[in-house]
Amino acid sequence: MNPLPDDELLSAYLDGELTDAERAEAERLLEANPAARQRLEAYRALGDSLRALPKHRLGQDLSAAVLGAARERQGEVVPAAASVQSEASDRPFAWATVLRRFAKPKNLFWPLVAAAAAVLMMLNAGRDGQNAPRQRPPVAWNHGGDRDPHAEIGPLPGTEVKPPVENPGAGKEDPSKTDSEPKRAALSNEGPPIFRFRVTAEAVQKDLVGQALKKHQLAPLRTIQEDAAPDGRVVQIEFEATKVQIDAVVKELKASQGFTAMPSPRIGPGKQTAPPDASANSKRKATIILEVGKD
Amino acid sequence: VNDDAQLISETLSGQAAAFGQLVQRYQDRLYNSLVHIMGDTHEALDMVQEAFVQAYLKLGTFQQTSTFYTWLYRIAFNVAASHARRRRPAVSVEQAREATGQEPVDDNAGPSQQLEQLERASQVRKALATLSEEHRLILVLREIDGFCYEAIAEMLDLPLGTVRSRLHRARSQLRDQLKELLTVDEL
Repeated sequence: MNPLPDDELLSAYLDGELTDAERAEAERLLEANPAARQRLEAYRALGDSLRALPKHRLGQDLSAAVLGAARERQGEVVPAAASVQSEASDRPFAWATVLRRFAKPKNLFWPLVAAAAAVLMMLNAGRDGQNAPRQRPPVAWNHGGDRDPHAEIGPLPGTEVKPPVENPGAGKEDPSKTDSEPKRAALSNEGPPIFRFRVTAEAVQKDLVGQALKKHQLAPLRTIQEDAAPDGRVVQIEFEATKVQIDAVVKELKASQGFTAMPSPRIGPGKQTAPPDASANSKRKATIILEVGKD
Repeated sequence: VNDDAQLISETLSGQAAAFGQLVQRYQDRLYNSLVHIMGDTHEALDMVQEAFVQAYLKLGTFQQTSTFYTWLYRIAFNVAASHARRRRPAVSVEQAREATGQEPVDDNAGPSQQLEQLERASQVRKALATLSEEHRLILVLREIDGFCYEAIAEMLDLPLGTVRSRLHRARSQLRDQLKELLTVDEL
């Protein structure tokens, strides 16, 4: 083996990754050469600095989102907790992909209308043979043999995820050759709820929103601050959380001194909450808007 | 506490919840590493999630000749590399700073210690961001994750000698970067 350059020898010595002979050589070098000792200490200090970097934590449990995304990738039902889109090429049945995207509770109406229309067209085609070619439902509905397109529409709570070995396509792939587009499964398709507050400058200074988020192991995704003429400013804080966490944060802010809840700017009926059947673990974006100094 | 092999076995027998335990066990560690490597918390979250999804789907091919975590890491880095090839331009130091957001600090430290921690972390992170991705990656694997050379070689599909020389070059570059940022006596 070629002798290692001194610095490389020292670097590997620090890591305890030398052979006995190399280690003996490194120790001779360190004993004889103060500059080598200095370099070793420099490397050691570098390592200490890197290990001292603060740890980043997710603050959320990804397991439900991961399993939900895996289910969808396997071509099974879409759980309400996940909205990861998989590669279209993985799907043997193209319409099923489209229908899965419509499977969110709020979007069930149109697929059901489409399904009903298709059934009517098929019935009509049966009665009138001449019109059949034009009135036949899209070919894709029948593609896939005996598969029932209606079965693809809605989530089936309680359906077990098949173990990976039962997925013939997945088992053949080398992990080192992955190329699928990552998506954030934890986010639901719901539009982000917006919570608006009028706040005093003092309340903002105390960073009560930051504290409320931290209390629930959350962190802002981004914070935007804008001056609002003539004498105020608007702070917009975007974060991701489960419905329970969002509700808890908002409740806490409503009870905080200096915070006055205001009507949400979002248009639409009902409260700014997640769909009732969304999983408690489902993450979604939410925005808190603070209007400061506009009393 | 179930060990990884048992959880893998349960998953393969159809108990998806067992894989959920693997996710819970490793998600923060993987996320932390990817934030340091990619310099972006949002992208790191996407990569962590995608890595676990792919690990789940490919679990039947996992030979268990390495640890689950090493295998998971390998998937994660391949996902990240694939993602970077398609979408991501080189990340500037400032972009990295903005994307990683505020550094988490030790809540038990006093205000002045927290400030010092933040300052030092900021300097180290800036220096790390100036390195090439391959150097940043190998430093994180060794210094932050504590992987041995053999595991790193397996994850990155490199000969042991290349791991050793690349790690040395990465350290040298980081040392040069930090010389400008830190006082000499700290190094």
